[in-house]
Amino acid sequence: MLLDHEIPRQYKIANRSVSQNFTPNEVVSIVDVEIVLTVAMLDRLTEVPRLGTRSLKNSHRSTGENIMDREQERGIEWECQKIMRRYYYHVDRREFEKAADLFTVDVDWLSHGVKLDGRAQLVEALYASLGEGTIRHVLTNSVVTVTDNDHAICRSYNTLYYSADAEYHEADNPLALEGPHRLLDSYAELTRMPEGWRISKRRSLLVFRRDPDEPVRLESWGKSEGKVSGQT
Amino acid sequence: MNRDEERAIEWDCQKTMRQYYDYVDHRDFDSAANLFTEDIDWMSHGVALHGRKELRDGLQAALGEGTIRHILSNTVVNVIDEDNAELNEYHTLYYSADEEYENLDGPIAFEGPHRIIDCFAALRRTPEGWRIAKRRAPIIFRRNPDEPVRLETWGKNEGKI
Repeated sequence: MLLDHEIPRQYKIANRSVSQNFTPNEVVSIVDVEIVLTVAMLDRLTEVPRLGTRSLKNSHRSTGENIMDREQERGIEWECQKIMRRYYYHVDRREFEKAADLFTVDVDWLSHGVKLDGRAQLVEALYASLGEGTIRHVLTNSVVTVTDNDHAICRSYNTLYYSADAEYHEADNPLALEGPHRLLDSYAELTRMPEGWRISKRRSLLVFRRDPDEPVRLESWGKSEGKVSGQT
Repeated sequence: MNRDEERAIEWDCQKTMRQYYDYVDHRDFDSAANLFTEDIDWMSHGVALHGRKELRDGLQAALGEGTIRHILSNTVVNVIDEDNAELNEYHTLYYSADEEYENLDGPIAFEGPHRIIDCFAALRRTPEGWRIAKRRAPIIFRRNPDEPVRLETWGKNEGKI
């Protein structure tokens, strides 16, 4: 964000808070930390965390201090929510490779009692469970808790609309609907990677379910592949 | 106040509401009650509660048993000033009066939402962050309208209708 007139700003540098009115080309000398920055440079520095890059984060680490402010936290909350939504956008449209790319390579994944380790297993499971039929994950209530500059936890609810057999893209009319098929508590841990925030761990708990005795494809596949963990 | 500051308030108020329902749906009633102001003015299902202590008692009585999930959607926050905001949203409730999800081996059978509620909340900035100062929640749609839920039964017994 560039300043075009005098705007009150608050910057935190090396755990110091400096609140002043600046003009864009004014030189600000902060003697205590022996740096000289213009307002435009300060502005670019404060924007780095919102863009999800690592440079400022590393400088935070070098001081051993957590100087994250609420604005930076909001930036992380937004990015992590977006990753979760984007994952379900891809997965509901069978773009499984793109979906898997939103996880870390060593993702630790458990849902419907099926335990998966790593992206390769995840892609295989997505094809097996969602390569046929139609599903829509309605993601709501996301609460992101920022652990530190590189880690966050996202808790959400997932209301699933599902048909095991009907393909929406082959149907002339919408698929018949009786209501949601299941409702899950969703938990995800996210890690900041060079390519952006990625899901490193996922757990989901089935809370409500229509026809609990009829397994969905993921459960049948997990059982046949020996990937059932016993946890739901 | 500029639009960036308004957006930040909108974001934080949404988070307070979501955090509240995450706590309350998982029976962490103390943490849930701490997201209200001390003088909270609360009314839902015809039950009126005043202050955190009454609210905490109401939550325990209403949701200490059974299972509920409040699905929040359509949230609109109107920022009144730097310290006050109002929020409207819809709540789609999934509910079982008798079964506790944490005591079961598998999910609870369901047929769809139990009720849909118009939720209004007034939020106030406090030293601890944004807190809910007033809440109203009229029920718009309801499955089995003649079967009272626990909150209604408790409110009637306690004279809080």
